[in-house]
Amino acid sequence: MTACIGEPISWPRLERFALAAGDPAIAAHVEACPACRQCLAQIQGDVVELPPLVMRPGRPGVVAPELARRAAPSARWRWLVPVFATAAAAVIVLIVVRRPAPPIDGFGAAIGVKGVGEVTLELVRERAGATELDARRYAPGDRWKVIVSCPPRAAAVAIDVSVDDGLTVDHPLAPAQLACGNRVVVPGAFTVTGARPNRVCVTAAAAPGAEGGTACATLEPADGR
Amino acid sequence: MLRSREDAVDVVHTLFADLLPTWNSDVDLPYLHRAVTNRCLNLVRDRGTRARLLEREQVAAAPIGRVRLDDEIVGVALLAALADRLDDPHLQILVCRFVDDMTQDEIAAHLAVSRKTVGKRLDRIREAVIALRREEAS
Repeated sequence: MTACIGEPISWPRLERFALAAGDPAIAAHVEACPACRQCLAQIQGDVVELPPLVMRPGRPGVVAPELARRAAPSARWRWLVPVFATAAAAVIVLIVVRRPAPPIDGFGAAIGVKGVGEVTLELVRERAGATELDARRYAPGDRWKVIVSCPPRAAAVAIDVSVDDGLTVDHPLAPAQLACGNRVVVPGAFTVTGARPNRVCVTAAAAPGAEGGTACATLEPADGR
Repeated sequence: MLRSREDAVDVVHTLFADLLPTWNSDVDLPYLHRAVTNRCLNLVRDRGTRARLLEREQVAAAPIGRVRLDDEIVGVALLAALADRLDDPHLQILVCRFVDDMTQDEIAAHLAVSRKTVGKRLDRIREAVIALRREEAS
């Protein structure tokens, strides 16, 4: 269904209509036009919750706007801001470079993989349409996905996912070989069932079966048993 | 436009991350729309990213194609090919008309140009597509 019965309602107008259905002309058009109705349905069914913004060390300028306003320096001392900002950035860089924070369970931290370079593995939980990074509790119906970031210059990375409690895994992920890039999603998803902690490990290697880097996390049941 | 949910989320996320330090009331929906469009076009222009997008173009994210360019749905491949031939103002109008399905009046208001300018640029876009197809055929 691609043809519109008249002039198509543009996507921005449909998006505004989806937010607050106030325009009767659009409502009438959508009612009569299957193509535009399909677009509106796509907008309404395509709500994506963005992962939370992370304030990374080394970006001291990123602060909440309220805090920025409250902390606005007077004009008299404004010239000192770049000096202090540079000094603060240098101190943070020194701290980050000299004392890297140990990862909690390997996910979210760079892992050196021979033949690929630095690889970052992330575990994402989808629950009732909402995605969450760094979630470590599972419940019936949760879907888990793996996201890989690796240098684009590397041709590919092989991913293998395993869960220690093999009997309770409904949909294990098949080993996959992916083109490297920023936050590449491993095809497929898996679920974890049961009532005990499960150890999930993801291995990234230059080729299937080759020695690589592994990130593991323990997923606890949501009810805490 | 990118036909990749992950890349689209990245674009929106990085835009807000960049905007947060200088957030002010001038940032409205049309501004965000233009900023996201420009960032997506930058991704399509980048040859490395372009190859990855084309390789992983999601079938599920295929456009519905209500407005077509010479009977052709504008996808990543055509956008990428035209990105090498058209300048920014033309690319913005290309996206507004054939990706966002805006009318010429909407485009004129959105980009603060006259309707005549929009029409002229659409003509040039069609000429660029005809030239592209002619080159491909030969």
